[in-house]
Amino acid sequence: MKVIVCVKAIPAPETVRVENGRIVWDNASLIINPWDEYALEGALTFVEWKDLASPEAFSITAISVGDESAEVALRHALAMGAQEAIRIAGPAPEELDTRALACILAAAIRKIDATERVGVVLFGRQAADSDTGLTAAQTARLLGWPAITYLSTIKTALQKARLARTMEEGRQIVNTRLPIVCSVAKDIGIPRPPSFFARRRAERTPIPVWTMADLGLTPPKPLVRWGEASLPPERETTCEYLHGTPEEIAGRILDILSAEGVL
Amino acid sequence: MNVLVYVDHFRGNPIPASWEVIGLARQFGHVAAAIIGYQTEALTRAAFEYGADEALVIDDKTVDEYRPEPYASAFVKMVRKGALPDGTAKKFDLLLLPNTTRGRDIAAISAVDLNLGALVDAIAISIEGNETIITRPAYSDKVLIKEICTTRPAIVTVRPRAFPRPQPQAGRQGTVRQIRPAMKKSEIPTSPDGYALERMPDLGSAALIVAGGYGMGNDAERIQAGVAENIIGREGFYLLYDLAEVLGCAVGASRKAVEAGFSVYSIQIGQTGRVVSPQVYLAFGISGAVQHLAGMKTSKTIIAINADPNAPIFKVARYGVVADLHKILPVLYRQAKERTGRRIEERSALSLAEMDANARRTIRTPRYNYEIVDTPREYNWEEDDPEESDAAEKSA
Repeated sequence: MKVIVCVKAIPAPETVRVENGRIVWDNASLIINPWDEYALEGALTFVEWKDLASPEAFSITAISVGDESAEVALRHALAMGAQEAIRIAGPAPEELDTRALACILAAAIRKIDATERVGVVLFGRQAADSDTGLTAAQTARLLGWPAITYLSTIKTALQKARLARTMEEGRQIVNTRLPIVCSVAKDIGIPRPPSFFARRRAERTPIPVWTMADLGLTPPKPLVRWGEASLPPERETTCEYLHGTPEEIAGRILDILSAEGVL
Repeated sequence: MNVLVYVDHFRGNPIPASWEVIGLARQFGHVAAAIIGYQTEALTRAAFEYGADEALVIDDKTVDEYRPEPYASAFVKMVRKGALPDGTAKKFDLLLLPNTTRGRDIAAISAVDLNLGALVDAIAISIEGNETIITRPAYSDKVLIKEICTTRPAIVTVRPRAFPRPQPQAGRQGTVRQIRPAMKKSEIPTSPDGYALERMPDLGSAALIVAGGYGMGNDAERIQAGVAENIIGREGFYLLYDLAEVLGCAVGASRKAVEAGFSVYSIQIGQTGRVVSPQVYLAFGISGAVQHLAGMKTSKTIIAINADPNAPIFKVARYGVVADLHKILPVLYRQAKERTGRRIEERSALSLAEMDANARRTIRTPRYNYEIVDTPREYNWEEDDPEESDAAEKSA
């Protein structure tokens, strides 16, 4: 059974700046989206748990849509423990919105599913550049599979799965049947850092490239585009220091809370 | 203009951000509230009081517990039914949802079903011609971007606490339209099987947050007396929970406090945790790393208590106290208890026990923390593929 992890290469947040209303990161190299590392950790944990009742072998495939620069993310996935990686050469990022991206990913997942059954598809909870977090649920909808967003634990037996998903109020436990599409929250576990040899092996692994023609797909035109970027207004505060004994300070803090109307 | 607002709730308890979104929607015109759940009379009444003119209601046992598919299908059905009772004449010009985990799911799936563009986490919205333009933070709140949706209506999720909550008008009425659920029970692919719930008010909608950082574990006197840092930190958080209980507010933590085992990830604030925007943020022993500021710098008033006068948090704080928090926190707790007259209920004791149980599940190792999900599992990080190592040694 295949476990697919969808990854994205993004500019490291430290390298990003705004220039004339556009976001630039000069020549800084891309990194794997940090949330996708949790998705990979989730996939590895899931494969290690092993479905004891199932005679099938499990393997992890990482996929990413983008040009050669996207291979950074795929190589990181290979180094962490994915068995294979596929790059999908899609339209330029400006020509994609989350729905178009979901269409491409869904087509790729179907293509993989045709040769080996796909059980679980994992995404990071969002990309740390665009911060939208819609693609997982949209891919699930396009495939017609259940969407399990903000996954925190996963267990399966045969075709049944028992999952916990994180929400504001705590965790919700749901039962479902495979295949499923999940976005993974941070509580799945700390991603394992790849070892030196795993990284070297990943550098040598060939990454096949699929084109839109391979998928037999014309991605839909984007309905959403990015406009001008700006820096958030600087917070202008002068800090007023409170002095005195602990009793006086505590009293002043409570006075401030009352004045703000939050008591 | 006709606006449809999804009223987000957890098992019938409304999420306050829904009312903020209704208040925002009233600036655009006629507001219909989309209410999906079971036994929703109270929700519907509240939606009218906060400003909805009409309510589209799917009240059914199959949508009692939230799942993305039945809720999104229900929302899609409401959009297709249109704004007028005959369901033909008018269409919605804007679909708004609060940006909660549920709101985002529904926005994502509806965008596919309805072939519409979805924008998330808006802090400002305008409609110009056929385009809906929002402003929202991106790159972990480092930059603001304008995002443009070319479909009408656009699906937009709205950041909680970015817009003011309207004053409810008691007894305000509106028209209710009952709609049949979009999915049968047998068609829903997931079945709910219980919850593990937080017992604290939600951080996202809290007006006051008390937060603790790594400094919670740094009590010089007790460290000298031989008490381990993580025990001091854990106890500090117990006191913080007690303080939150008497103040009636939520508790947050910095990443360093969570990684040191003082608290749990679910309350972590910052780039890799929750993003909050309370009226007042009371920070104990938080130095204010950039990653933490990304999660809380939109708070209206920040009060920082830190022993280090050069801590970056004082740059964003409105009030600062340079002192040992372990001297202030107990005094503040006592005075707050007197002033608010609230007592710590049993509920709090339970939540502390739960927190402790959760905290115990985090195993510390010299190099890494793992969150233990169910049964302990072990990885040997040191061990590489032996064949590879041998080959490398030989070639070297």
